[in-house]
Amino acid sequence: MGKLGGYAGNILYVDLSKGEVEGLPLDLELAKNYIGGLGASVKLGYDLIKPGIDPLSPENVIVIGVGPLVGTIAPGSSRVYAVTKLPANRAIGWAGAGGCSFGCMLKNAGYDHVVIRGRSPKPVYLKIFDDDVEICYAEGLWGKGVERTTEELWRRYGRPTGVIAIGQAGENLVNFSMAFVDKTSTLGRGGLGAVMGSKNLKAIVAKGTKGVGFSDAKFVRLCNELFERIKRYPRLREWQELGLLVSLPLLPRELYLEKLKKARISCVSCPIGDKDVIEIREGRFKGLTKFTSSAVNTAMPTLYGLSYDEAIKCIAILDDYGMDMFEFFAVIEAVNRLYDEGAIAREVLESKIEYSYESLVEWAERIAYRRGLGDVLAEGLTGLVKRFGERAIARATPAVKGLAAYVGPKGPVLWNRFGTMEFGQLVSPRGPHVASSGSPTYFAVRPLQDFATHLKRMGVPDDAVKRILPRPRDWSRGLQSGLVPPDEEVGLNVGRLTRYSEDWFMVLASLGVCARAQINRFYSAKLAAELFSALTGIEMDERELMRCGERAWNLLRAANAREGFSRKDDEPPESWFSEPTFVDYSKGVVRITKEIVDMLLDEYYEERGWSRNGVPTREKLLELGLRRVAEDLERLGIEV
Amino acid sequence: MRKRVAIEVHPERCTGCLICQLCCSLVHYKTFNPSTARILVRLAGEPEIGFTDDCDECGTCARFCVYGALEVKEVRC
Repeated sequence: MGKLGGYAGNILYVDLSKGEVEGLPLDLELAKNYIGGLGASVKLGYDLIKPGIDPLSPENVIVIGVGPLVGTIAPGSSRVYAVTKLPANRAIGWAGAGGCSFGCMLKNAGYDHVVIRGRSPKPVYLKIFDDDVEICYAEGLWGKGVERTTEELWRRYGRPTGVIAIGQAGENLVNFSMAFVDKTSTLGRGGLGAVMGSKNLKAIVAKGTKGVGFSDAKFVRLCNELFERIKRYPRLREWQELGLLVSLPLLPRELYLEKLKKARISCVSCPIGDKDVIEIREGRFKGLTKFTSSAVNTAMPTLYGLSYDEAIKCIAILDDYGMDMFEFFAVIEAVNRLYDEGAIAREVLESKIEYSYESLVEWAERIAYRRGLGDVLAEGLTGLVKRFGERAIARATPAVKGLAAYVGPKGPVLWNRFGTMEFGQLVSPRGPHVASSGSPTYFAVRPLQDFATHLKRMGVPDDAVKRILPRPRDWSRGLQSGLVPPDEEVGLNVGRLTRYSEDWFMVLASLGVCARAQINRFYSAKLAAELFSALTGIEMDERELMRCGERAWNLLRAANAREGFSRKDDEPPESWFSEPTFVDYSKGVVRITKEIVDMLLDEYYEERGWSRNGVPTREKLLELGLRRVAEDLERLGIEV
Repeated sequence: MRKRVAIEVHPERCTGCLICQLCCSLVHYKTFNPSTARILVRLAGEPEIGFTDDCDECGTCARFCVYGALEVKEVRC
């Protein structure tokens, strides 16, 4: 590919079995059809991950991608994505993280993507420093947690070297292990950590000096204007001060500001800086300093009765093992329910797992090192299903595609409106994920008039806007079936909206822009297309840019159809329908029943141009230029 | 000729976003490249901010800093 702005122009292929590395040029068609970042990683993953393989075998592939905006001054453009087959549910999934310095450094080293195959005979880490690419032995790192591994690599190579590292959970193939970027951002719910562990890959480090170019000075002007808008935004200071605590106040502000906050940290180019360095200054854990993607996360165990300092220390330990905290707590809850039901023999587990700091930390260690019953828990919810049966687990915990739902109507945090984030947990190909279906429904109930502006910003066509924001009498199917009381205005079709939220997420993720509401809100499809065109020199209007997002999302869905996923895997957890249930998003009056969710699934598939079985149709795939994919599905006899 | 400015530095406000380095390299070398920036941001431990000898005090870094870690204080001719 000729040198385009934004792109480094190379893909690094690494074969850990053979110990070989090779840089090959990025294909221009890949950039034009999938933008880059997540979209292009999905395409590379589709081509390279053979259907039916074991996620923890050398045949599995990890594709890492940074979009064309990464490494530039476009605000909040640091995202790093990975595509792989996930061990937790055998889905072709993606992992995404605030790239801290990794994304910018990988691009500066000269690569848009890294493709990792095989399995090293010994533990290694991958060093990518400009043209100096080397598979290095990880002696002295293997067996260490994320914190010490990252610190040791920074000691060797200095900062701002970007580091992606796993802890003991990944090494020991825990199904819900993750990787961490610069020991701060989480990468890979569903077991990316275990995939790295299975390859004997402890870490990836990147640093570079090559720079990122641009095609047209208009790119700089657009970024200037964007910065000016952000600087004028009235809530900027509040966000910079408090981050996600503004919308998710799990920690009292005074406690955070006066006793815990040490510093705010940013990914490269982020004007919000919503990552945290927390410091405990008194008591039992005095002196603990913890980098985290959000102070909100470290407070999560307080919902189970831990004190703030115990909660922070507990999350520090889970993060250091490289373990997904959401799945950890879901597995503990499931085990306790199974115990209550008598499904676990008393000789296997003497008593329920206590929600005390000591008990949780002990179980985290058992899981990370697979000791005793921890070996079963390390297999996550899918492991529990194998051991105790599907029905028992369905009763024990709300899960979708083998992973715990993030949000539900019965969670410790009241989160009962059924918006796109809640619905999107069902249809996301990788399993429950909220950011990919985010919209103004993020964390707060927004008035319906806000949606018209938001839909326009996301480039939603006018005819679709009418379907998403119908007048009450247009909610015909619901009214006819008696599912929605005729005297209540529901007014927002969450199923149809989710399609566009996902496409918009895919566009941002492919460009490399953060999808968190605080950044996302400053971008529009039109601006994104202008930035992309001016940066890269590839002319693209907003319609075509959104089409790229749609194409990548369809390809991801097709990759999972190839693995056997369909509507049956989008089924909602049955516990969502016993009291208390979700209620409709806009008014909060209509109970969300199984029938309503089924209707929303039908409408979501229809809006996507998929079959009622949730599989992309031949027509849709041809429309998106994916003829070979349609042929793949036909050849495999996938039931559309 | 560019106006030169006095830049006041508050490293304790720095979050490590490196926007200053990206802008600096853009102004001087027409590319986004932190390694060529004339402003130095050291992230290990407490943030430290410094400048290379060839910094011409153009002030671009400070104008783009959204955290107040760099502030333009006075314009020199």
